[in-house]
Amino acid sequence: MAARLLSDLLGATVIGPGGERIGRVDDLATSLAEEHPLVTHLVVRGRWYPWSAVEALDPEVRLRDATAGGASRALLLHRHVLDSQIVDLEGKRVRRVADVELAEDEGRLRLVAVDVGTAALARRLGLRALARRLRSRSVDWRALHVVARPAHGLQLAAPAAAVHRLDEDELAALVDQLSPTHAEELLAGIRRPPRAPARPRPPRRRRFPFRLIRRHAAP
Amino acid sequence: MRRRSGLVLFAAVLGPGLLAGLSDDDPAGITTYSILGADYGYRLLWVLALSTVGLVLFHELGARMGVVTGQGLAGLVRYRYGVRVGLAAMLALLVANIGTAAAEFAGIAAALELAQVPRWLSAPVAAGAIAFLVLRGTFSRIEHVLIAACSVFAAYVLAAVLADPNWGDAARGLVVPTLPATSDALLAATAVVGTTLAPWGLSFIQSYAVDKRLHPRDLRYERVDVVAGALLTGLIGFCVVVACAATLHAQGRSIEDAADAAVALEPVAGRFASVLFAAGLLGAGLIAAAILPLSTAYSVSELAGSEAALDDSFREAPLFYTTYFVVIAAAVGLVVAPGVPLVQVLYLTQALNAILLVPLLVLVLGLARDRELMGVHALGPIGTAVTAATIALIGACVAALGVLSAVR
Repeated sequence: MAARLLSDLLGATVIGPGGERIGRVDDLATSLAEEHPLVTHLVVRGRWYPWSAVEALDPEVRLRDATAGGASRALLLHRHVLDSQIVDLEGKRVRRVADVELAEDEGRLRLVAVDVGTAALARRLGLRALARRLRSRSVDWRALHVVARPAHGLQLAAPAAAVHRLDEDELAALVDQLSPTHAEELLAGIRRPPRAPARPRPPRRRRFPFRLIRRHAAP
Repeated sequence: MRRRSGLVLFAAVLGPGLLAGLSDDDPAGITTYSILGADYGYRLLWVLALSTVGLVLFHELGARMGVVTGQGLAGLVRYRYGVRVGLAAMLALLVANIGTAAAEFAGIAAALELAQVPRWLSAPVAAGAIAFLVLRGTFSRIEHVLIAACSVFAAYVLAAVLADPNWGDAARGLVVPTLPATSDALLAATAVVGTTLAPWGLSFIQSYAVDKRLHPRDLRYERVDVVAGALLTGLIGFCVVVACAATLHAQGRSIEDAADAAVALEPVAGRFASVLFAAGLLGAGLIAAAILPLSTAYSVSELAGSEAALDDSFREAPLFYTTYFVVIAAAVGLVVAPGVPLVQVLYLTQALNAILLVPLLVLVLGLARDRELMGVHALGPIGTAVTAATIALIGACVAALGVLSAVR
């Protein structure tokens, strides 16, 4: 499994089956069906190409079939995840996603983790020398937790187990850090029973980060 | 009963609009208003009325975005426009804010020099007091001190009354737009727009509304705070213009800056009016000098992705406090260090603020329209049109200011 970074893929040239240039990678779409979700679509200039059409990623993205499908409900890694705010339960701090870590697995890409460290930020700005001296800090996607996104029909993707494991003081300290809207979402997430039966989680986890995406309040 | 609970709620949300607005009435602002009054009397007061409308419009947007998204402007710019655009905006803000903070400390020093306090003493002492307040105070303590400090602006209302102005002429100047056909008059008018709406105020009101943890259901009251703050900002500007128009303009005297105005007021309006004017300048400088580094510290930590709050300790938010102290130290350094061409630094700072304003307003408009981000609070088509037209008008003012300053 080769590791890939979203920031390296974004902006890569996309070539069609006849060698024609289609555009640049604008976004990657995932479904939240799995613990480490598969990338389902490549988004180029507002057109969605199914991942099965991707032939190669290097040196540029090559498609074996340039038939684009329509947009669907999905989590977009650039638009929704990159640079979004997350709440790190262990550090009890609000942070921003500096990069998204993907793993290449038999030609398919899986969303593995997000990097919230300053090193990733420096690297994206082209400051590689600085990036080597800064901290990298990645958080497993399984430890992240999507909160209410009514606009996209996403509900809690995982049980709020991580939040449940905080004791009252820790939870209070966390809620204190959040904006009132986020705090409400967090607490609502704890009260709301998970829709799908919870998968057993590993007994001990080093961090319990928590992922929040803005409430979209669709009219 | 309902009215009382409304009042209590209003008192609870009071702050962002008031502080962001009044920090725009900083020494540079007071200087602009003084010159406007001394050179053009009551004639250009309508420009002030218009820029107050602009202030209401954009500060309301800033506060709304902060409350709805729970994120500051620099953070949202990074989320929506990418880290490069965010970094460019943040670096421009950092440079402009250090220069502007230097202007605030220069104003404090100028006001205290009238009382024979040398600037090598006044600027560092003021900086120390501000740094102590922010490092040791909690959010609500800091807010209370700053709001209480705003009462110093009453000095300008008193000074205006003492100047015994012609209120009828002032009212006419406020509502009847006339512009003397000279480039100097146009320059003075555009400078008012540039000084009332400031980039740091925009980023400050949003970050501060986040730090205050206002809830979307508070928005109704928060709007009152924003409108009240902007109107008060306009009123103070009005009083400064009126005080100078009634005295200096009537006597045909011209001035260079706000401290100059305080000195020039003494023979025409009396010693008390002069002292009031100087005291107002000192207070305006202190409030803005506290808010500018704060605005910068919020922006830097938001961009870096480690959002911080005033209630955090230094250990919890090192980047936030380091930025705060670096801005203060650099600003004081510019003011007290010998050999620094302070006049040029302040002039370039004003130019940078004016240039930075328009792209920042465009970013604000883009974010405020974003339904995914703002939900039902997003700017609709009418709001978008009004905001875009205002940005175009401000852009035209900034361009005119640039051309006219270059020609001079």
